[in-house]
Amino acid sequence: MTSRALDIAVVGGGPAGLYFAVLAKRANPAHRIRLSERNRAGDTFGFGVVFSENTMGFLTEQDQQSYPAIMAGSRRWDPITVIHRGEVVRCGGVGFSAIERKRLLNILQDQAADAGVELLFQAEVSDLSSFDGCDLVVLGDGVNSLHREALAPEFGTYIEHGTTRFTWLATTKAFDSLTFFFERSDHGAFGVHVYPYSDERSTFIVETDEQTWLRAGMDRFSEDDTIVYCEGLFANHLDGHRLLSNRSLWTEFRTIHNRRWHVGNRVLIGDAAHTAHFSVGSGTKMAMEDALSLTQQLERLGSEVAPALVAFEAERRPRVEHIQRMAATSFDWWATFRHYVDWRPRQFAFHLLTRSQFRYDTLKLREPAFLEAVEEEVGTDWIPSRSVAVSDRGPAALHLLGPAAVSPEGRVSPSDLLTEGWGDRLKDARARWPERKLGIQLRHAGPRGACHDRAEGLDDPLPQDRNWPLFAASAVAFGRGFPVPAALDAAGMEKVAVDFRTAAAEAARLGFDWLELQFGHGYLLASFLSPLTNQRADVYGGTMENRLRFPLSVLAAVRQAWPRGRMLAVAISAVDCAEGGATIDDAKVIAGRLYEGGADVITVLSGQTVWRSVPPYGRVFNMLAAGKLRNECGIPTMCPGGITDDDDVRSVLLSGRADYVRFDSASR
Amino acid sequence: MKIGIGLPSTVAGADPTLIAAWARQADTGPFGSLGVHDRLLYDSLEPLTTLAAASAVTERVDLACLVAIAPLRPAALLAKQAKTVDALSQDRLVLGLGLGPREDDYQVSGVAYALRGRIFDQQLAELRMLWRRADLGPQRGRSRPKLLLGGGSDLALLRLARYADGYVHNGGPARGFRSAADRVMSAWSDLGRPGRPELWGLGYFALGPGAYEEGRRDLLAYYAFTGGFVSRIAAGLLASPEAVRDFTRDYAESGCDHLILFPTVARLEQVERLAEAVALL
Repeated sequence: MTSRALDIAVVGGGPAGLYFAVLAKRANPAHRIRLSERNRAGDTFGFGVVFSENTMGFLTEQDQQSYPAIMAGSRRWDPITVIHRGEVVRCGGVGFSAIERKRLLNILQDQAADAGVELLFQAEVSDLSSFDGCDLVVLGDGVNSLHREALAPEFGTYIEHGTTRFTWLATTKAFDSLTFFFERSDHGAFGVHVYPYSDERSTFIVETDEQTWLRAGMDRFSEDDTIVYCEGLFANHLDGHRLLSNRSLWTEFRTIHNRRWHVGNRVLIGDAAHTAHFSVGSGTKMAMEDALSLTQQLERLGSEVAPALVAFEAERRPRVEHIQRMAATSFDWWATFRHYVDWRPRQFAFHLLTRSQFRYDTLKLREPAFLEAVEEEVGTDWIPSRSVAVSDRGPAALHLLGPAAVSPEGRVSPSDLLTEGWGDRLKDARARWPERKLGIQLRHAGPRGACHDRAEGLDDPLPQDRNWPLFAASAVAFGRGFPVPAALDAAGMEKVAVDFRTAAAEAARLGFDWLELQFGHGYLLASFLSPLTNQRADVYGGTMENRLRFPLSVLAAVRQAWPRGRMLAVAISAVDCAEGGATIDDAKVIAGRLYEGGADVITVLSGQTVWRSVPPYGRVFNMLAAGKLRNECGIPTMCPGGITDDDDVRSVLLSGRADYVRFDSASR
Repeated sequence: MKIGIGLPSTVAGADPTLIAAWARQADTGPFGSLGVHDRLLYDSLEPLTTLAAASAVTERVDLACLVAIAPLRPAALLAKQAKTVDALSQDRLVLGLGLGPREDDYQVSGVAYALRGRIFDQQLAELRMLWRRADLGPQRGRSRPKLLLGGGSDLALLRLARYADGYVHNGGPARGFRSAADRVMSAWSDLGRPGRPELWGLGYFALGPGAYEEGRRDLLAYYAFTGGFVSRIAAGLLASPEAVRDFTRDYAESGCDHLILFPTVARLEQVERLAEAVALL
């Protein structure tokens, strides 16, 4: 099928615009495509660009012409190298390639010219009205897109500003792979990402936190100052090679989001539409995938521009947002690595490599030798002693029973365990798992309570004739069909604290070794902690300090009854996973106060505090939050959530992100 | 893992009277279930009425709707129809529900595509209450069919763990199924559901001389709306007994409980050919 010929204007001659022009012109030579680039053909900035190889695979399938030429001009390598505290740690099986940006653009410029694209250089497009007669205007004018800014309200542009400072340099030393290294100066910790893009050049990106950057006086640095400082700091990695600059200013990374990628016949592609922190190496890849998708949708829909733009965005947005999420967690690592620079080199490298898309199980497929090296350094004998079970799955040193309600009105479902039932459960568990210590979780229903048992489903409120009154911080129903709970009054608080204390005393008397208090997941204490459910105007609502007041008093009551020397865990929903809800920064404060208040360990959960909270389900999905509380705040953590096998356990424990892991109840 | 076979109800140009013969034959064969898809604007049959017909000529196999596009149907009528098919088949209905990816199906139904997620949430809550009502018969048999949900977003997983008994995957290599299943399990455990959800997978087959080209054409037509993705779907077509064997083995190893292989060629001999391929396992 040949599509209708279109008159297309492309603004910006970066990878996105050029590649789109090439593909679209090839797909239908009858299109008229004019590409305007404000610089000269040979001008370019930014040294080399990197692609992760496996993610480029699909271009190989779809584009038999440009892609081979690009790959032919690229440097390719397999491992990631982490150099830390004098040790070189390698993890293979990753696969990257990089190409000089100028070379990539030259290839695409040649192909565009061959295909018959009209290339206009030194052509500043100040006003899109000159393209009013065009069928389609493609805006590929980069992260600082002027045309996006001019239409920012229409595109719904919002920009996240990173908290680190970085600068793009190059070096004459050709490193042999993607390499990370880290050094401390008198001012703080600096990290470097390096990758080779030719036989005599590597891209060299230096990143640090804002405080360190200010302490070093870098806000006043010239390019030469930067070179001198970095050549000194990284001298032992450079082997006498020089650093090179090219408009290498210190800057903060800006993550671009747009609620719409097209307005009328104008469409954003590449960095103009979206960016993702360079540590995941996806900017150029996304730009090229955008170009391919837009071309394919135009072809498929017979050059009908409006539906093609809708289909383009529908196809690309989920993939782009996935990469942006990955990039956000990767970026967070780069914003906080100063907490880890004193770690042993291999565990440090494992922590770095598992910051975003990799886990133990995914690395095992790529490079078992790397994991063996990590395990040799960290040891593995201690792993079972830090594993907690809730079913047969193990090995585990501790078995957690429950959840148990501290009172009949504190039940979530009719069959919830009450104190009278503990003795029998304890006896059964001792017989079944003689090698495990035993613990129990205590909870009290909140906005979420008085529901059918969970065999058939969750959050299914009992009919009025079978339910019981619910209590919460405020009179806000949990969700559809739930009764409105009563706001807990002073007498109610007193009773709840006594019930928790009594239950803890009973658990101690029966010989439980471990006690966990459920302060998350939408139950009573969670309703005080979350700003989404606590609307009180008294001393138990409003500020964080106030929202913590009642949970801390319950903890204090339990602490009176629960012996020192036996473990007391408090589970919190570290993030509400809902708009306006608690974030990890809130969790740092909450966990810190609970730890000071007598909790020995914080169990890190996500969401379920309100009906609409949606946690990021998957393997080890609470791992990053647990790691942040443990390593940035010094709070011992337990990590449940998406842990079903030994690989998951190792993802968490070997990366130092929690002190304990808890197996899930269900697995494949 | 049980292996099921799809009915040719979404193979364009298929003879509708083939359904009964196909179902009868599958019921005698090694198959654990019969599956159907849902699509309005296509040369296809409506899934629940097709399963009602299949229930009349079968006694054994599960009748799996993978999946009905829920927002196109009023919740009360959907509850009634599902209960009816479940009763007619003596508790053999497996009701998969989803949103469907096609905007034109919504347009022709007069349902706002943009609101589909919100409508679906409401329907799931309503269905649960409707199925519990004493005045919404039939009252024989169980109170509701087995419910499966699909979708890959975190919200979809949350819905599944909140409302359903199992997960239905949208096809493709076992690798994708495996990672989706891990996410399903993590939601299930996180929401404190006892036991484990059933995991259902699906694939497409075309067996015998000349069947591959015919089947490929069928998939290209059915999935044309997915744009560049259609070639990958078509590339997954199982066109030899060996391909069927490898695919089913990979799914079994990935924890799948029920795998339904859908036909892309509407000829009765396909049932026999798949039965033979499955017998080799």
